Amino acid sequence: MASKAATTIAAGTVVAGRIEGAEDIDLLGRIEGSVHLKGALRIDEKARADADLEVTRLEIRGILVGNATATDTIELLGTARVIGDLVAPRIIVREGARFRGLLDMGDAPDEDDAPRPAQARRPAPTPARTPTRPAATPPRTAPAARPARPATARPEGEDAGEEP
Amino acid sequence: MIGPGITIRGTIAGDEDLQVEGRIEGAVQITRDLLVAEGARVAATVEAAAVTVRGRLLGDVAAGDGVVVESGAVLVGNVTTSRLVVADGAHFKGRVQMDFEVPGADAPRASSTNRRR
Amino acid sequence: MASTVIGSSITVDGEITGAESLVVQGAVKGRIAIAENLFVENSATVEADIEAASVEVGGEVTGNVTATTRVEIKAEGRMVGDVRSPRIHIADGALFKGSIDMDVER
Repeated sequence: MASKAATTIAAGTVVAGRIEGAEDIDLLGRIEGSVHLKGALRIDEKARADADLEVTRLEIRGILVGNATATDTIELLGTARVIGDLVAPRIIVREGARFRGLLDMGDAPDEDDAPRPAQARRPAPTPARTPTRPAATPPRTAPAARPARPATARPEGEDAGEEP
Repeated sequence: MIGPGITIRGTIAGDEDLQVEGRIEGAVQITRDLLVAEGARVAATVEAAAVTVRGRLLGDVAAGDGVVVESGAVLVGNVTTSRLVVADGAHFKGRVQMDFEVPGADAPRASSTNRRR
Repeated sequence: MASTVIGSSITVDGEITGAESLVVQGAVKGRIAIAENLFVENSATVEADIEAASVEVGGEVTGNVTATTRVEIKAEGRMVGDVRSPRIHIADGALFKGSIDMDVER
């Protein structure tokens, strides 16, 4: 990974404690403790952070053990290994990433709105609507008109294994 | 396949792939793959081999082969799986459990059932 | 090998240890123990005990310094603390307050 940030923690270096700042950090070594950054933290494939992170953006290719909050984006790339809670309005998990913990992009957009992938940037949860139950809709009259598709639902207890 | 005009309340079980374009409320227990198509609304606990979400899935998911949440899709629920992809533009909220080791990991708040000495 | 660089907006409250050289442009408070060379640049503030191969002070250092090769306090450098090093160079214009012990094996 080409290092572009002015601040770089080299592969054989460990920074233990509290790191604060207002610029990007490329981590090729190790951090232990906490990071509070107005900027992007990039954790390289061979790097490791055992730390709680509050950053603008987080790009993980290595190991993170700790909780992370980002005001913009958290991205776990294919070599990422993360244990901890991740909170950000936008979180991307790429094929190959391994993760264990909370993945929280906030409450789901209201069902009646079209999904707004790039717009849900509020880290705080939206009030009121519980996302667990779809809005009630009038009963549909279609089901009986589909003879070619055998219904696969049946009362609990039976097994049917119909083709979908 | 559950068409877009169909709402099912109850448990769906089987040994076939299941493609949902309508609505399900309840539970899905299948040994093969579940596809929640765009526009579909599933409020159910799900057990399947692999789960792909293009629409909306609210409920806990156990999918041994993997879970993919595509752009524009919504998954709210806890997920236990071996593989997870959350695309740019997807919406996800829930706990994720994947079985893997990180040497010397002392998970601060996430539950860690695999602690290596 | 590449250096660690602590940029000018960064503050570290803790310890920096490691195999590489270290360039400090921001603030470090705590301890520095590195195998290679430390460069404290003009914008930097270091309040720490320091162990390094060599130490070059162009900014502000408060703390005791142990170097295995040399210490240099540049004209813009300000240092308060004790130095143990086989060689030392204090430039004209530098500020230094502390003791110097050069009785160290070269």
